[in-house]
Amino acid sequence: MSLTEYDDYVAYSRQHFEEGLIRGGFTESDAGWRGPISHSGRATEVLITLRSRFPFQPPRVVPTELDLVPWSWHRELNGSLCLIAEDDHDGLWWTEASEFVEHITAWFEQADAGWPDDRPDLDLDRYFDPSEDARVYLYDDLAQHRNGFVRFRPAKNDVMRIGTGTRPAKASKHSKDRFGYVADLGEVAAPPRTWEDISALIDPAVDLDRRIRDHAVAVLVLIYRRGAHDGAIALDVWPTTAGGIAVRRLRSGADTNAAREARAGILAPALRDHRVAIVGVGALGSFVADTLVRSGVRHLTLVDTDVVMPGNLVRHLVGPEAVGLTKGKAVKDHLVARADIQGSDIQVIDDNISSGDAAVELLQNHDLVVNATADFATTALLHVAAKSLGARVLSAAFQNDGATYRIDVLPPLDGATPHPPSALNAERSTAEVFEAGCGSPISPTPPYAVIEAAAVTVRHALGLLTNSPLHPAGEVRTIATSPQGDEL
Amino acid sequence: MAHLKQQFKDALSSIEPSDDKTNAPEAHRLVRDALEADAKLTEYGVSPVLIGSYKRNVSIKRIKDVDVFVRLPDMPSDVTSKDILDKFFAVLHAEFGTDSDGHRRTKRQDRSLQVSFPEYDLYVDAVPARPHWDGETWEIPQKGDENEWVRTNPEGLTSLSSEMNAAHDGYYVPTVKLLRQTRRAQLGKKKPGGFFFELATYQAFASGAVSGSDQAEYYVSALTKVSKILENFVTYGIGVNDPTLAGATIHIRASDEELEAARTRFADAAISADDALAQEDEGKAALAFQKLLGKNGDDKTVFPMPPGFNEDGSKRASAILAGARVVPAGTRTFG
Repeated sequence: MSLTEYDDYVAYSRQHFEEGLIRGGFTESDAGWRGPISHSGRATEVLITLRSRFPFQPPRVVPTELDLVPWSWHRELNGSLCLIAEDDHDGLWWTEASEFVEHITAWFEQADAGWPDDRPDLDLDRYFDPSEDARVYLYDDLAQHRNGFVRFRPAKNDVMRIGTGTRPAKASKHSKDRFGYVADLGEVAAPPRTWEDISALIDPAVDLDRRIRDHAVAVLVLIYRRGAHDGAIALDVWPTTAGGIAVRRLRSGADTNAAREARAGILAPALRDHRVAIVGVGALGSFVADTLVRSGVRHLTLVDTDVVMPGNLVRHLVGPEAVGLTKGKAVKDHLVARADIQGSDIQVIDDNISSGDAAVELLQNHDLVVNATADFATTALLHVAAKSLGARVLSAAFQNDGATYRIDVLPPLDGATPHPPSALNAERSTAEVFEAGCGSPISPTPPYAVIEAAAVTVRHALGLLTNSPLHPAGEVRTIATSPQGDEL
Repeated sequence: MAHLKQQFKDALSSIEPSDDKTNAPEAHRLVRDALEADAKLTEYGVSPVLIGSYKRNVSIKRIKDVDVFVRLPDMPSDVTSKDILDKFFAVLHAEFGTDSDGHRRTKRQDRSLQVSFPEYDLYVDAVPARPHWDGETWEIPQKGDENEWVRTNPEGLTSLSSEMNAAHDGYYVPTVKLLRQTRRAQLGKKKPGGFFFELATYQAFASGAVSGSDQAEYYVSALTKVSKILENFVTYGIGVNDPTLAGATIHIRASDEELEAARTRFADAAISADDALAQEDEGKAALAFQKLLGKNGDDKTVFPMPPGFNEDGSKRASAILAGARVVPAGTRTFG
């Protein structure tokens, strides 16, 4: 989009929206567009302002009489209506004024009805101005601190970590700790916006006002409920020279398993007790292991005898600190350091699966074996063993110099037909590269292909683990057409 | 409904007189100085004042005529209209002489003397005026008669104009300009002239039939009412009032043919303006307003296309429907 087109787009959108507002009975004033919104048999006058990023940002709507409209979770700190959830950006629909005004009407009608079927957004942060303290305040399980005193200690990266404790009577002036109180507000019908609002919700016996004036409490953590959901916010509180108490919000967040697991996907709880073995933790296998752990798998066995070499790094999960370690140990160290998994949950086998016994043991002790060796002999061994046990192996590999990846369920489920061989119709256009020794040439598979194939492998793995397989035989996909050519 | 706020603003600035705004007062000053320097006229208490559309701020690009109303409160009643026009001619011709082509710059007209200013490409009309017996209004020479005078009150119109403008949130003056521009675009040099349309617009406003909440609504509403006034004038001979003189109507010089043409063109214009206002497509609406307002004195199109539209009123291909999908489809996106 050239800048002229961009300007044209913005100017058109703006004028088209304003035309629509005029049509809707709005008139322009210095402050913005004023007009009535009819709802439930009456009308409320609102002010619509187009912000500088319009149309890429929805207009702001504020009732002209701020207090005539009830304050609720659906209004912002500045009194504007919370009209559009952050995830509702489908097509910039608000650029049509008539649709936008309809949406405002719906807001008022919902407000009149008391917000039935309300979405429980937990975002009390929106109702306070930010503190100048830019540090991140992290808290663990707040239930243990409920209605109690806490101490925040400085940690790395300008982080303040919560602990128990009150301010000592003779606190050192040089202490960098900050002291606070955790107040449970219970169910909060309308969000508090000022110190007075907050104070009214806290047990007066705590005498927070005095403690704040005495500088015994400088951080106030509020825990609250909205419907079935718990929320928390950390506030900076201090006495003002005018005799009041000022409140600003601190940047805060939970440092708990629950906070992390909430983002692990809906399958995470079901995966917690499954055992997965990955045979071969090279490029593909290392990312499979990482993604499985991030998705919730907590019991892994990593099988590989190979050692991490500098040339592996660009396509491997681990970094240069792992060069010289076996790949199994390297991946384990990485996961333990960076993911929420205990060392004892990861078993490393620095050996090849070269016997039927080893294969059977692996298959019997795990819910799923992922074969990422790309080694024909190992694949055949695991396949035959799985077949004789009535078990399944998920085998993942690249073919055609990295232009194709294939993921096979071995043997296929329900006697399904295996996917046919993959082959491409073009001649190789670049020379093959060999490192010293008697081996195969280096695979030109690019890192993005490795990560994509790993993700797809995990998708199939999770399908098998949760008894909802994606396909009875797996998946074959060509991801590059050049320079290797088209799929046959 | 298309209100095209910005385009009306742009249209008004496109018809705003530019250089004339400096030249007109300068030409007026030169004529005024010449008259005031004459002993006889001084004896008559000469006191020139600027009148006309320029003074009322309703003139549009380009200004060709500037009117000077020369009040002579102490002129004896035995001075005839011919005498005073002769006197004016003598004074002005003596001052301004001939132009580079040898033509006299001062020209005698029925009621006034016209002085040309070729360097500014404009004329100053100096109109002698003596007090009417009521002491409030004035009399100016009447066409074709030796000593006939006609009553007038041009300064009254200046203040009525300002009052009407204030009563309508400043929409009266720009609406008059847009109506004058519409007249120019639709009738060209044919009569009735801009003054007729100005007074018809005043009458329309005064009747209470003109209203709106923005320039588009005012323009369309005034155009509709003015076209009815014109219709009544042409069809039934109902005169257009001179708001400064109770019971008086204005006189115009237009042939029947011209009046009939004006009636038809304005009736069509009113329908077209009404349709444009009701039109939901801003491009089509703009095209209609563009046709109504034509080109300005510099031959530039008065009413611009809004952004996002081609000159023919069609939506620009690059764009751009508001609400067009510029975000890939899908819900609950996450990055």
